[in-house]
Amino acid sequence: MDSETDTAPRGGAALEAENLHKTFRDFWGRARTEAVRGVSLRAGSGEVLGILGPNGSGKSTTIKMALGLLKPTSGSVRLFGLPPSDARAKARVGYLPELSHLHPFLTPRETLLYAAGLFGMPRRTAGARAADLLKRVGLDGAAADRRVGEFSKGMARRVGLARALLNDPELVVLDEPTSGLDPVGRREVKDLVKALGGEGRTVLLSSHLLSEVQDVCTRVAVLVRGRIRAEGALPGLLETPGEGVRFDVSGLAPEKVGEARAALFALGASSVEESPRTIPLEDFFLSLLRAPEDAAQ
Amino acid sequence: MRLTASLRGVFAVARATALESLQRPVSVLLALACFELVALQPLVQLHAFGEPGRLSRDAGMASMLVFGLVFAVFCAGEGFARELRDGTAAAALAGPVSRPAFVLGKYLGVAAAVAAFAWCQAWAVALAGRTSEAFFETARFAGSIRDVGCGAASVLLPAAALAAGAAADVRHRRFGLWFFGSLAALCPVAAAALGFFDRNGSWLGAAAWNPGLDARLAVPLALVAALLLALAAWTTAFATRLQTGPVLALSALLLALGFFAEAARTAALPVRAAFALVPDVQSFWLADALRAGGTVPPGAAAGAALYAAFHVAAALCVAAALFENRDL
Repeated sequence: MDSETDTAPRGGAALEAENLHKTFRDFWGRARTEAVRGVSLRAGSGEVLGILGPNGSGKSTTIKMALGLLKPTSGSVRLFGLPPSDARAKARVGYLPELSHLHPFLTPRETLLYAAGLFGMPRRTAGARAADLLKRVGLDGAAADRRVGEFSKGMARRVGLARALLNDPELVVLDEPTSGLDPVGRREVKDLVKALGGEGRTVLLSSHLLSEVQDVCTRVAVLVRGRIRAEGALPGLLETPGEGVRFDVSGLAPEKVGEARAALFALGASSVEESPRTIPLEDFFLSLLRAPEDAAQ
Repeated sequence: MRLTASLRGVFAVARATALESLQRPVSVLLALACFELVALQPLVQLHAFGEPGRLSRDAGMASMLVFGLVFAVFCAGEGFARELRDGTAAAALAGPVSRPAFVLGKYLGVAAAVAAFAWCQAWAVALAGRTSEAFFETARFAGSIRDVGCGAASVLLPAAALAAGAAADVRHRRFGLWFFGSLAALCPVAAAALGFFDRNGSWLGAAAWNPGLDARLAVPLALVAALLLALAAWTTAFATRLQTGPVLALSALLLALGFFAEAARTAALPVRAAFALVPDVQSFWLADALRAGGTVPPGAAAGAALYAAFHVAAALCVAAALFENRDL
């Protein structure tokens, strides 16, 4: 974008957090909540890292510390090898907060132009980029000039997403990105996250929706009560060694199913379960929405 | 390049803040109430205090000060508190904007809104001065006369601005912005148009054009605006750490102490030192200098302007320091 970003260190991890602690204190300085307790994270370039955890587990606090919005009680954070307060590092980050956090009196177009101003983008470049992104999130046309305060939560979320991508970020931080979205919006966000990962961007995605994380993340960290309980690549984490193998068979004639079952028993299987192949409910729902009216009936 | 990008960030924050400040319903209400109070007062005044226009002038400036303080403190305090409460400050500061730049942008936005408010009210005070009773003498008649035409026009100006705001709202534009913009533009236009008429409403013609406004008012009115800007800066500093309620209370306390600051100049050293941080309201209130045809001495005006600039700079430094490590 600007020359200032060009001098920032390149390569290495997009985000490195080491032994982060965060204790919130009351007015008198007494410890009130220990939100994060010794979290260490690393998000490599092009990685889609999911942070999973129930409400109050410290996901948003960790993300805010990573972005320099909260000061860690102890521990350190580096964004692209720089402190998170460094403007050169933050210029390479796009952030979607948990509740979008938009000015209600601005329109989506003005919101993006405002954000572009914060990134120091020239007005002409910003206008073109804003128009492009509004189209990408489905808010072009009349919606682009309505005030955000009149929007539903889902529409506001789309504006927030467009803002997070405005500076063409190398690290995209998404805090509960599908919150408030309908199934179509959720699928679009999931597709977007996959596309961002495919483009080589690093994505840090926080969510308490397990299926969402499973669908798009290459690696996950599970936070419980401020601590990381598990971390790693998804296939490795979900593998259950010694508990059998699952076959996903297609092209087998129905009359051969019995033979296949018998063969498995003959090979020593103690139990074999079979059920008709199904598609996920989300796919079924979306297929109904996308089908023409008469076909659906 | 880096400086340009930083300035763009400051400007973006300032623009959004000014926009928010001017379109709040409470801002429109304060501006409307103050303008009408100032414009109506000379039409119903019963005394001139021995000097035509003095009561209108003093009452107008006092109204501008009181309403302006509420306007400035509310815009600065609530504006900043809302950004923190709603998380828009966090969203902005996740980008490459430094915290001091954000504080500066917030203040500049409030300052722009306060300037718009002060501009409109200053015209109201000037027009009220013309409307006030003035000694009038002809070959057939001697006595006092009020410029009722000017008074009526002044009273109707906010109505025209409200109509402009309503028309804008119908077209999905911003009511408050159009209200303030229209009022700010209509005031000088009305003053210029009134210059073609004398106090009786008789046509003077282009050759005898005279707006009949007291130009001496410009400096004391500007100093009242400077006080509003200084107080807005301190309110911004308070708002970096406190909620709206305590911010408003603290700002009111600062103003109350400001009225005593002059008296504290002769107090013991610790008291004088404490009051050095309080903006001395009397330094900005130079309306008395206009009594009996007088003017504000240039040195006093320059001193008060510098004093305001010092307070703004000091308050913004305190604000930046308080905000630097604040959790968002």
